[in-house]
Amino acid sequence: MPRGQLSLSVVEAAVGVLLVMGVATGFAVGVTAPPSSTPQLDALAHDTATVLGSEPTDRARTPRLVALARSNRSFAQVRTSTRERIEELLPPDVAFRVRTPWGALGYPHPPTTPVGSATVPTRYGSVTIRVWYG
Amino acid sequence: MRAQTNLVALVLSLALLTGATVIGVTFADAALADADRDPIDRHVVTTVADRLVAADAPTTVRANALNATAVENLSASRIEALAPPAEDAAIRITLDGEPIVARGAPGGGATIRRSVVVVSHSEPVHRTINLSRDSTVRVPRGVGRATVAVDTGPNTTLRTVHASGRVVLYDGAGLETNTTVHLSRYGPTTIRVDPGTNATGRVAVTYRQPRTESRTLTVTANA
Repeated sequence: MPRGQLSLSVVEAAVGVLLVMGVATGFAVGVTAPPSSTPQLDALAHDTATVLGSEPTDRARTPRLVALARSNRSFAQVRTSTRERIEELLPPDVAFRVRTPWGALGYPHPPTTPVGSATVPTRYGSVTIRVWYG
Repeated sequence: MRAQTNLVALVLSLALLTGATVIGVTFADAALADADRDPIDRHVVTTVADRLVAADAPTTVRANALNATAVENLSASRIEALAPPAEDAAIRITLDGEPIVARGAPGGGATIRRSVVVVSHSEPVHRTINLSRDSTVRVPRGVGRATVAVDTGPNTTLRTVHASGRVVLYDGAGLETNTTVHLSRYGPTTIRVDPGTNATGRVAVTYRQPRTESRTLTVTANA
């Protein structure tokens, strides 16, 4: 049998394997990723933003969130108390970072963990709260 | 001789194809098992938690601030009225681990945690402005509303009541009223009246001092 041809059955089988593998790849890629913890973290970030946005500080006649964004001086004044307040608000296993136009407070966040965030615009600039499981 | 070669090729092809199919089905099964993620439980817990902390919910005084009395009176049927998806679900709601609503045992269900504050009000505080002597009263920070009762004596007309410079009550013919006025919670408020000279009578201001505590609201449900 010196014709140098592949057997027809082997060619058919190769086509079949290709087809089946194609369908399997469709399943592996097409199905979305398993649920992440981001919706829970987003909810906690929003809760923190809501509470900070409707609570007076000791000195300013504005919500804490506005006091954070208003000026460098006002940020420095409420920085420590805000940190304590957020630690009180969030569950103990959740870490946070707050970014304001005048600087940030909280912990530096690890680059790979899933993060929930909430951004609140104020008349002095936006304040972003990010939380993650620490 | 030719027929035998074809037979070997056929057996080899069938074996290959069967192997590929088995691997493919295993993949598909694993992917589908991963995709099954209890959407109903998750839907129940997020709806219940969202409705409980919403600004217009009967359980809150504002967004994320629960009313302590309303929370004490919560029951499974009230939760159902508030969030219909919770019907027939085993559900447990706790505040910092303290159970406030429990029905059934939602062991393997979904859980969500929310940060809230619980607001409880003090006994009413009564302050009085005696119109013949003074004209202001100070309300502390955090009080969102107060009841002002104006009771003027004879020959006295009181037209306006100010709260931190803002007019909150006015009647050109003279006030004689008992109303609730809204104040700013973000600072102390001075309630001021202009009684004029030789005025008699009194203005009573009543308010409740709120106290807030941070809590973690946990909702677990298994539908």
